Amino acid sequence: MFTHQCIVFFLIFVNSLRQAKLLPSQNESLQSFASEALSRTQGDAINRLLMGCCGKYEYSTIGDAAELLCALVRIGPAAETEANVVAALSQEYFLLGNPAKNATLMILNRCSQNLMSEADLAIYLEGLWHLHQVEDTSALPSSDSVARFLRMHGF
Amino acid sequence: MPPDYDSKGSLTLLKNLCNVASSMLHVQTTNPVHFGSVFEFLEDFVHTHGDKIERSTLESVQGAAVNSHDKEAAGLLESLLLGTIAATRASLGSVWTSPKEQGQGQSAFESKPPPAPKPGSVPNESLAGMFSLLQKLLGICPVFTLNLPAGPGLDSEEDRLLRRAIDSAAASLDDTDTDIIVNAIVFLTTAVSFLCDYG
Repeated sequence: MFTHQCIVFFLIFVNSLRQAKLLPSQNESLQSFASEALSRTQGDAINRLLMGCCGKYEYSTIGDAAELLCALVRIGPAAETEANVVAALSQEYFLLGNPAKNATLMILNRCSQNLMSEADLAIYLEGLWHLHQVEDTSALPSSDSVARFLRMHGF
Repeated sequence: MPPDYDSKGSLTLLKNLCNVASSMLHVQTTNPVHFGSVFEFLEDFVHTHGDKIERSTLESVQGAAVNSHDKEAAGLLESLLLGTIAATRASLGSVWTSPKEQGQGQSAFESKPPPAPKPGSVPNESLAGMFSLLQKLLGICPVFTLNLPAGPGLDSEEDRLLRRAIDSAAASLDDTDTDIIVNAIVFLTTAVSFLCDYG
């Protein structure tokens, strides 16, 4: 009984250390810095990550990129996040055409609403990466491979 | 790495090791491989003493009295970390160079600042090593990391190391070096998670 109480006390103590509070003024300063840093980073980072997933990264990097992308689309106001994703998907590096752009936007919207996991996003992005590996990219938007890819993901 | 710095002897040992690491930063132009050793030493420092330094930092920002050994250990870590970044700045990208960085601060252990490196004289691994180190720092001692200035003598409220690190990591996401990209991604994932708790 005494051992159990000691363990409970220890766990509460450890938890209190982990959640140690800052003074209100320090919290305000931290909140202001956090909001500003996240807002400034989100658009740029989403753009570069999507560019990497559209063939620039090594394949082994896609899992880590998916985890960060998922975290980034879950921060800030939804409208701002969607605008950042739309801007990124409008860049020249995305070669799969408008239906695939819309599908990618919907996939990232699901992530932002916690309706899709990092692991599922990684599977989608791995497919996106593979599609960008072909030499002749001009025919990609109307290709069977893109149509198959979209069907496979429910579009 | 001494397992603690509670006694005068162990703190002196830690200080001497930091002095050795700091002196290694001065010979980088002739042997750049030493940078990797300094980053490894810093990671070991954070892994071994980060928890304790974080607790004392929290006590300090809450206005409580801080043990002098804790204060000195935190000073050693900050001084060596900022000195290492200053020494590798040439390879860290434009985010790390700023006209504001004219630090007048005094090192916690007496040493001259490392000479300014020439662009290209520092290996690319510095950036990957720095993101790896900062990821561990943020994971183990977030409040300590948050309060670090971007350079010796700077005000952390005006110019935070974390701000530059986040900007630098975001800019590195389209680097050509996969190690840099992966370490930038892992660091940013930790930073976003930490900042979301407060933002």
